[in-house]
Amino acid sequence: MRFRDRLLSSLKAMQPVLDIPGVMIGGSQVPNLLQPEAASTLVVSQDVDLVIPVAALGEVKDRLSHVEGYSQSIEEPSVWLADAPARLEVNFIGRDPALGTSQETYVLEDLSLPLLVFGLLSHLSEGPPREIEGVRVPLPRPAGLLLEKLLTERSGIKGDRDLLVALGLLLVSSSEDLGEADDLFDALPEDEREMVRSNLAVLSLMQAMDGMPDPETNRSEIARFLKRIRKGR
Amino acid sequence: MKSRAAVRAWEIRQMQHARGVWFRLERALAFSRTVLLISAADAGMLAERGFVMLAAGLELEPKRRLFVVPESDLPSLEGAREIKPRETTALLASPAAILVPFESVAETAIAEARL
Repeated sequence: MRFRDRLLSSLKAMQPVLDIPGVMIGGSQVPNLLQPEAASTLVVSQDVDLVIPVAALGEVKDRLSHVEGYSQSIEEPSVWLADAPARLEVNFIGRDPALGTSQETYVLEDLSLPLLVFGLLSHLSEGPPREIEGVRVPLPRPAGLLLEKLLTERSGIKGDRDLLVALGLLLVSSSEDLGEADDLFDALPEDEREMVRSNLAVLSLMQAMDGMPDPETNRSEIARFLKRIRKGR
Repeated sequence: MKSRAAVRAWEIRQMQHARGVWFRLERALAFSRTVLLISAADAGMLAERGFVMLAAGLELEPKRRLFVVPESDLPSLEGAREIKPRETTALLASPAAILVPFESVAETAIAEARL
């Protein structure tokens, strides 16, 4: 079964949750879904992140009771597991405007759906939803997610993966998206701007990994973006 | 997670200080399409001809003469060995090298090399 089919099948099952205002897809599946026809060839991970506004947690829990084909993981209750390999695991993460866009995180304790809440997710803003084969897919604007991924703490494979998501976003971004990324970048404090530049440099020097966007063949794209956001440009 | 962020912020503040050398070197490599390892004699010739040297390379100990030279200005150098920009171990084992920037960012790479 193609990865694209698994991804869309997962989103179709989660449609009741995706229809809640403010809920959107996050992470590595966004570049896949932004590709023409949602081609999903920039595979980075085998799960889907759903970004939940903390204020909508109650509604999300209600809607989850109508979702079929998934059950909550016993070990990690913010993860929902598919009952068939035709669908991907779903990971719920929280967004709280009260955190600002800081690197802070906290656990929103909840008996039925605890969430790890990330300040950096406040960089995300809702983009136009896409209608893909009958599934309404709410997506963030690429620029905010690009910045969020480039502000990530690099630690091991997870850090590398976040940078590969950033590369995937660079590859699907339009010139308008990149212009928006410039503006968001300019609004960052200087230490975070340096972090973005530094992470881009690291991305440029990373080795290719199977089934993921290839940094090596896209180094010139990374260099061009690095030039765009150069200090005092 | 907060403490990792604090360490990272501290590292970033080192950008213009001794530890910042690595960040600047990394960025120069990100602008580079390829890297040529060259001999000390060739480095002397390039210096005489006024090619721009990466300031960060001169802050290493021992100093490395790392020139930033656009493809169009590359002199013919026999014995130069091409490596990938991520091969930093080989780069640092060499007394000198040429970083060849992507054409689209060559001006920026040269301007940043002086920082």
